[in-house]
Amino acid sequence: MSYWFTIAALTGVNVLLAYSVYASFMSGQVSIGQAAFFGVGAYVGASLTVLAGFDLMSAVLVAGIAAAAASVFVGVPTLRLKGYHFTIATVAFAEAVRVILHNTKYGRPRASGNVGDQWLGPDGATGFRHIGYLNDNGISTGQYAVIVWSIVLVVVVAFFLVERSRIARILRTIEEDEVVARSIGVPVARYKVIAFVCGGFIAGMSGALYAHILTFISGNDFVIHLSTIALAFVVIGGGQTMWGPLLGAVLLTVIPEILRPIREFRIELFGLLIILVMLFRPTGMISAITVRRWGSALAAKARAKRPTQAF
Amino acid sequence: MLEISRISKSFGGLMAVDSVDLSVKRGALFGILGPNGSGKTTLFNLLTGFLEPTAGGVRFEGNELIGRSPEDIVRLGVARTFQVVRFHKDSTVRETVWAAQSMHLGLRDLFRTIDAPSQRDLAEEVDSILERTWLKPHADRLARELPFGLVRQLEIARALATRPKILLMDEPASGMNPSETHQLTEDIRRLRDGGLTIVLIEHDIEMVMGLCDRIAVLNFGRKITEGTADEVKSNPDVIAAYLGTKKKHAHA
Repeated sequence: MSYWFTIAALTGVNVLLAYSVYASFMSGQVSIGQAAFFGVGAYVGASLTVLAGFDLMSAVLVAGIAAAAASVFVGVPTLRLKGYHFTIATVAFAEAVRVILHNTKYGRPRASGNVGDQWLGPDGATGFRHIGYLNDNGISTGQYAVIVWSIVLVVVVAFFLVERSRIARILRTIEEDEVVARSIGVPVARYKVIAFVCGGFIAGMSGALYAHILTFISGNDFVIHLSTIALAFVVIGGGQTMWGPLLGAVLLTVIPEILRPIREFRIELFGLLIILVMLFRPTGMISAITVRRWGSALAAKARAKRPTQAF
Repeated sequence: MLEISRISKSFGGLMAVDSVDLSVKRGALFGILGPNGSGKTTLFNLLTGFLEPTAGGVRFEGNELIGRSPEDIVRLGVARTFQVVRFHKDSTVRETVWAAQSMHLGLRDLFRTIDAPSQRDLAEEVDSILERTWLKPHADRLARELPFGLVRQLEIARALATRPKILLMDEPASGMNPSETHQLTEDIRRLRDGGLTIVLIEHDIEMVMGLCDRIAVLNFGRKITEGTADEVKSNPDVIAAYLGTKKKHAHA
């Protein structure tokens, strides 16, 4: 059972990661560097609980803020540029962050521990071990899954509200055509930076939550592969609506686990699924049109249910 | 209201706009006529901040426009429509216009939905714009499903939502059939009568002649002449550069 709770918690982490991509995706900016903000969040979050005695929630929030700060650093200079510059910059930044995390050492010696494992805090290439917050505080995997999904719920509700607001329409206008956006007075660069920084914040929280399930992280957890998977959640689930990242992240986390019994074929099957979706549904599994149809179907149902006026 | 002085733009060795002077008075319906490639759209891009001129200046109500960003220029009240239709295809007609109100709003309003009670005044403004541009019956259709003539109207509606003082229209009649063009002419006149100053780029001579109270003619980036429809029509340079060859075909 605990295994599936772990999967549930990891799924929640991935949903958050997907939304971190989606935030800037809404304004047409494709980031292949979310692993960096995820990594920063993981290291900051873990350091705070392990070394500074923070409680989990505060650590997760501060990790989000730290990652958001990192995304300001990437976003401000690059989001003024058009086209692929931004995407390339995110990849480069993520690589840089990975190398830095891989070579970071701070913390203090552990009282007990085997030879070569006597350090509390990130220890360079050996990684950051003994993130024991859950164990020390008696939080079970099931309880942790609930905590993770509570945060997911807050983020999903936030996106649900934003999606129907004017701001989402403006971001979509930027995505479709920056010239039009500027012609209606939208400060395009500012909107893109804000969207990207929100994404950074979510990635940071996600990373911190991840660190506490894994209890052991290292720079090499945050490779470009993670960034591309995060992007795949959005692209496969559907980047036109907020339901896409949720569906994409859940399916793409759970399916490989279900396929585990068939072992060596599962990665290939997974790849095939991605190809099929891209071939037959280039907008992703859920498109904007799908959501509109559901919306009007729901509205019609509500109307039908309402008691009709007596004649 | 709009003073353009000796504005030039060169792309490499090509002078797309060559030292053009124009002065548009408040309430005017000003036409800029010229064959394709005569620098009309480039001129609009200079006025709206999408291009930096090589030389010259543009003043709008006392503010220098050159050096400002497109978004700043719209804020001063200079709106434009595009020759090639551009809009977000997955938005409805109403949403497209609704989004274009944003620059006048505070952060709170930006996070509200289209049907929020606090947004009623803004929603009414959208409705009135849709009404004026014949889009009201199509308000909830997706922008990409609109017939072509109405898509042009959507361009105008979106520009109106920015509450402009002056509207720069880039070939609004291109691709329209004669009855749609006629309707558009009426609409533009009505907008002007409602207090909006309008600058119109066209290569449809008939339309400009019938509609505009002042016309400038561009050819190869230079202004060849400026005046009323009659003055322009009788100018030999214009006939040579533009009307001479084209008119025969148009009236055949």
